[in-house]
Amino acid sequence: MSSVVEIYNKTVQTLSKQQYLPAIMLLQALFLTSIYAAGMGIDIYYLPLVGAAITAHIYSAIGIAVLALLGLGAGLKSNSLLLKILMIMNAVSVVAAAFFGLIYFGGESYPIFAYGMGLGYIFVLFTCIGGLFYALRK
Amino acid sequence: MENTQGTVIKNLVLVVSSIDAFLMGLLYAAGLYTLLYDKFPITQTWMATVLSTHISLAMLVGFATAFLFVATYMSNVKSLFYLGLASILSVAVAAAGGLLFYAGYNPDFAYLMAFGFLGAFISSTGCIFYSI
Repeated sequence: MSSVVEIYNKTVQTLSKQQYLPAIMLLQALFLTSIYAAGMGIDIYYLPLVGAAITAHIYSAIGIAVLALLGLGAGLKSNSLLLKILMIMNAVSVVAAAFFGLIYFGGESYPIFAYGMGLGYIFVLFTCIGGLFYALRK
Repeated sequence: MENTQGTVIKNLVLVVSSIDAFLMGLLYAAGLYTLLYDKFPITQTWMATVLSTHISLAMLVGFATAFLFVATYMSNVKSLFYLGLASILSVAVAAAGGLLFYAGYNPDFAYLMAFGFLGAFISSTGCIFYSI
């Protein structure tokens, strides 16, 4: 029983470094995986823009946006310049990806907007994983 | 002396993982373009050019990831080694998925390739920021 408490304490200690940045970025990475699964599913299997896949995609996007804001707050409060830069880039990339995604979903269904969303996604993923691992090391 | 060698190898991991992640970014851009604009089987020259770019970058990523795996092995840092191992395994899954997709245009394999890429990109980016 005590080992369970020890594991819990160790996990909390690890994830709460740098104003809880690892915890926020880990959660964002999980949402990024689910948004990727749903988005790629829609594109690869030619799924319509109604139904379970697009709902999962949009809900994940909302989660990512909220966590990007939390990450921005935590990053700016941390004592590392690199983390501050990474979290600003994370928030800007989320805004860019959401901008293209909303245009695409709003009726302008040209592939170039889906492409912009996809490129925004890869920058969000890069900054999220970067923030996660750098905060864990610090 | 040993410390100097350790720092050199850690810097090597940083450089190789940065190149690897950059190439993966280009690979993703070409792959997404292929997914959104190409129609399989390929009929137009420009579609073949985009697909060839994707495949060429995939080969470069394969080499870079193999080099990254060796560098992480030499670093003697357990976490880095596991990240390098995860990266090379994910690249193997992605490559297998891509080749199987091209063999019969089964979309399940394209999905497998996409998930292999996700794992590889996360691992390589992890190597960059873990070795800084």
